[in-house]
Amino acid sequence: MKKALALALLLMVSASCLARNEYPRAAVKVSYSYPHKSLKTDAKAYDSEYQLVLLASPSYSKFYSPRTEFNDSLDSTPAGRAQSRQIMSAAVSKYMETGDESVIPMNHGTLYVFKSAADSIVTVYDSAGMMNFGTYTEPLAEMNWEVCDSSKTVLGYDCIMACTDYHGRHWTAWFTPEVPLQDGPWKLCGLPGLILEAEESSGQHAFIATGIESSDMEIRPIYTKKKYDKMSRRDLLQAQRNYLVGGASEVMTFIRNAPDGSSIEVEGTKPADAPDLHVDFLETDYH
Amino acid sequence: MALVLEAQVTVGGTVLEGGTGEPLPGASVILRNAEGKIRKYTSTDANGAFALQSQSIQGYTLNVSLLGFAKQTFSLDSVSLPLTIVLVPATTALKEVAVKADRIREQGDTISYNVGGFAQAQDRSIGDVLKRMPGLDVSNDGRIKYQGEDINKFYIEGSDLLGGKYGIATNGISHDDVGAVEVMENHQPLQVLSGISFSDKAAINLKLKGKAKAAWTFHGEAGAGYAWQPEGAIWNGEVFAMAVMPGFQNITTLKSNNTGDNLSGLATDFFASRRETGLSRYVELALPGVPSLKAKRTLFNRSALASTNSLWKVKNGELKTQIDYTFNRAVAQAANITTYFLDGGNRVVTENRDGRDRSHSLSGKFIYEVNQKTTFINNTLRTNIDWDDMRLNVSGTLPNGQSASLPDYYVANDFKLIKRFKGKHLVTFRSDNEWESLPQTLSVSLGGSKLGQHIGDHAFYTHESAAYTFSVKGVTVGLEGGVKGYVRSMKSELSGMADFPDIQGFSTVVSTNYFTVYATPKLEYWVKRVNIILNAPLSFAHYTFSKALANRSELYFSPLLSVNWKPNNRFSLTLRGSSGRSPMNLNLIQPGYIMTDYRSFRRGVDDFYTSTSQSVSANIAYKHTRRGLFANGMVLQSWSHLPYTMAQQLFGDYIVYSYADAASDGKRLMAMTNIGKTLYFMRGSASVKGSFSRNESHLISQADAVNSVGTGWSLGASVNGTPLQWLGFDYSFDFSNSRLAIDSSKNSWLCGIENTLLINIMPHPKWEWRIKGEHYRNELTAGAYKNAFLLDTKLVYKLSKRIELSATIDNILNQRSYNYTTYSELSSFESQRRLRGRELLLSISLRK
Repeated sequence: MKKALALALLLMVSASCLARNEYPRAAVKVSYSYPHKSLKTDAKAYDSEYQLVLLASPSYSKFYSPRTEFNDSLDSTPAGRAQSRQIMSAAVSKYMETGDESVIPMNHGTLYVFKSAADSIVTVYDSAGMMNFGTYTEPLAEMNWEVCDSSKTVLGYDCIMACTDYHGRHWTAWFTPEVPLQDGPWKLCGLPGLILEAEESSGQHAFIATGIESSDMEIRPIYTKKKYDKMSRRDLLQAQRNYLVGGASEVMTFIRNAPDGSSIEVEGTKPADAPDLHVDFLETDYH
Repeated sequence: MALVLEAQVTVGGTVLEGGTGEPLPGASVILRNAEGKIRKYTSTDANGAFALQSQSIQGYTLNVSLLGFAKQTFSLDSVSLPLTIVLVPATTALKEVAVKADRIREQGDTISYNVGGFAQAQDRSIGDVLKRMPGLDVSNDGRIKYQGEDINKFYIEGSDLLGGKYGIATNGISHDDVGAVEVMENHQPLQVLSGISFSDKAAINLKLKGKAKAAWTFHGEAGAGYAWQPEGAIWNGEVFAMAVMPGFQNITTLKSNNTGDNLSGLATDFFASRRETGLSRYVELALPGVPSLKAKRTLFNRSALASTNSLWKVKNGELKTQIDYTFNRAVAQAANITTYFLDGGNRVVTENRDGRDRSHSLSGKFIYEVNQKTTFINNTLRTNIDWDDMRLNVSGTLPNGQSASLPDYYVANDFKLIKRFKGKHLVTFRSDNEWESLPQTLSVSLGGSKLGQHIGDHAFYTHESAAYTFSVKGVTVGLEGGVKGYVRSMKSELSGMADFPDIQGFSTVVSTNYFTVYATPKLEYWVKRVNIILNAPLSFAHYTFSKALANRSELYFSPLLSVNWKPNNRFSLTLRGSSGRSPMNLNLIQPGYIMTDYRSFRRGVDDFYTSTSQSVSANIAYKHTRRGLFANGMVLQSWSHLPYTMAQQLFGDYIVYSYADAASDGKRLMAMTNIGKTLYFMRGSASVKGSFSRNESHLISQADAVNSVGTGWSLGASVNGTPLQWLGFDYSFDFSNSRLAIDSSKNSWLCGIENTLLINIMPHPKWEWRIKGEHYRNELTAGAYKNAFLLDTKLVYKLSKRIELSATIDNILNQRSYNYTTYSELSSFESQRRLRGRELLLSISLRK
């Protein structure tokens, strides 16, 4: 009871804090594994999988990669950039020595999704091609979910199946009324319970919950907000696609900051002879 | 009429907070039909309002829930619309599953295993969890290997408190106190050697959770109960205290049990090198062998351990003390009944053996170490006293009694100093001194006669050396030179051998001394992905033997080459080769007869021999941390050439082992592989391992040359996980097969199979119920199998985070014996061994 009061109080306090420019706090932290297909800059497909986290309260949530956020947080201050350069420098020399790319602390994607139930909007931040970043807001998705009779257990929660078509893909989701949050991974939401698992029909993208715990972590906004340009969702996706598919070799070379501050030229990859064009993003309706 | 029925009903209302009456936005509202299926749903708006349209509400229920409030359910048949629903704050009990980042992370040379990601509910110590981490292998005695190679350091928060006695930590530290296990590949523990000398070994570092740092942590367990065989009370107790602070670390533990767990192994120093005093026991008394079941099933013991280990950081260095005492008393019984089917009736020969072994060990280690970039100083003083008393009685056809007293006293001091100049030059000084005394007494009463064997054996060893090394552009050249001195005297006296007045040599005095001068050039090439080390020790030794043998001098050269190639972070290949001559075991030089047990004698060599040996080996390791995949393989081939061969001769009822002047060759092939993988879908892991070995050797028996070949292979697999919230399991399978062929007569293959399954049912966060079955199937002779099945269970009740109560019943089926009979054409052989019977143990465990 005390705990509940504390939680309720917390939610109210956090809501009022928002007004005073402090950050709202989460009630639940959920980690999702994100196995998906992605394209390299030569438009060849590869499999990738990493963990993404949903920090959620009934009124506000953030879906992001803690790894990417850590890197972005370093990039947001001069001291952090210095530290980041050091980490990178050590990793690059290790990479030079071993030839193993995995030693470089690469971002786990660049996606951030903030959902505000109070304003009924979703704000997305993502990369929009090389060295470009974009952001847009949309009304909180009115997904037309069809709730089915199938059920299964995810992380010990009884989940019910629901399906919807959304922005070019057909999604099957499993939500649990046991956790009364109308939220889920990525933009998926609007079901009467937390979505713990979701996959789209082509098998290119899926989110599978791997952990859930109570949390009162701050849901802090994105670091380096300035680098994101406002653009439409379709423009952002198209820009990203053009970058990956090569767009008639627009990107043949690019300049990159070396760890010691100098610039090195790296030859860009040419589009592959047989690009895997069927591999696409979470949304495909931008074409 | 249908139209009337299909009229829409609006289920609407407002959700308010209890107490304040404020509207609650964001609450889930679900309309379910009589079968409980979801028909409609929505959530409340900013005013706490909701509205749902439904064609029917007959038998329907409405659920309203919001995180942090008690869920409300209404039957719509008995309410009036619109509804006003008041939610009262309450905890929404989440069934938590720890949110974690990747279970295994890799940063450069360090791999970090998330302990929470591997621990299963039945695990207690960090050692239990280490076994589940792919790439790591923990053998039954507690030794840790990473990718098939022994680790070279075990750190707790970066400090080396325990040295090689890390079993104290892995068996003691609760996995709840450890956040991550870091494996540092190619770990060079000496900072002065960093960048100069390559290490192919890995080290382990335990990263503790915040709550276990900067404060003492305690946990303890006390259990008492009753055993059906041996009938009586049983106990199992443990106290463990740990402090990990910036300037001070301590681990102190007390343990005792009589439930089949021999604690003396916990204080084993896995990093200890061979004692250069080189003494070994002549008396070879051993308790009757036990069937190949887990030790816990066959060991009748009383065991105790007390250990205290401290580390203080002083100025530039560390001061460490490690004091351990262990005690183990074991008893064993065995009965063998051999029946000879003779024409005139059967002849039965029985032999009942009954033994007791009591061993105490007290050891102290005092270390001062400075480990800096330019200076390394280490002085280690080691003292060790062991007492081992054994008694063995044989009744039956050839009754006898034997008792042995086998104490051991050992003191050693090792000093090492390394200085690094101008980054590239290293100077090393070493001084090691060891002294050991190993008196042995064996008393035998056989028939009416009494025999007594006394042996006094002392040795002193000293080793002084200096080395200079310099390194330029990845090439390191070094030269070490030094002297070694060794003095040993052995005195043996056998009384009561009046039956053999003709034989001389029942009392012997011998001394074996040597003085060695040596030089070891060392070349190391280490650029990027390749490391090559060449060691070429050359030594000159002068041996003096009082009376027994003529003095002599020998030259030894034993080069060693090792190549490591690590093309990327995932793959590593090591090749090693060595060749050399070495002196014989000086313990073998002894002209008389020494009684080793009631019917065996050993006679030493009367000449000085040197042996030669060669070996080549290859190790391969691969890992893919993101996929949680680790694999390694090893192949070793070695050859040995001895100018003498062991021979065995029968004199009446006695066997005499001696050495004959004949060349004997041995050949050994060994291969091993181990593959581990995480199973993310059920928070578990799996591993598969296999091994093969082939030993070929020659022995001269009754003046005939015997060529024997032993071949064996084994396969093992284990898998564990928690596939359901309430269900965890641990399964392992082991298969081994071996054969001995002597000359051209080949014995048949004999196999052993062991299956172990543990199921842990967690119906409620406070309750756990474990059930464990072990099945053994051992082949006794070709086609004849002995099966054994043992069942255990344990019920755990977690009263609170700190207190846990449990009840254990081991060997529920009360299997008390492991008996079997094998038949040959002319006889039958029956073996009887006891097992630990059913045991009930009630325990309480507490933690701070």
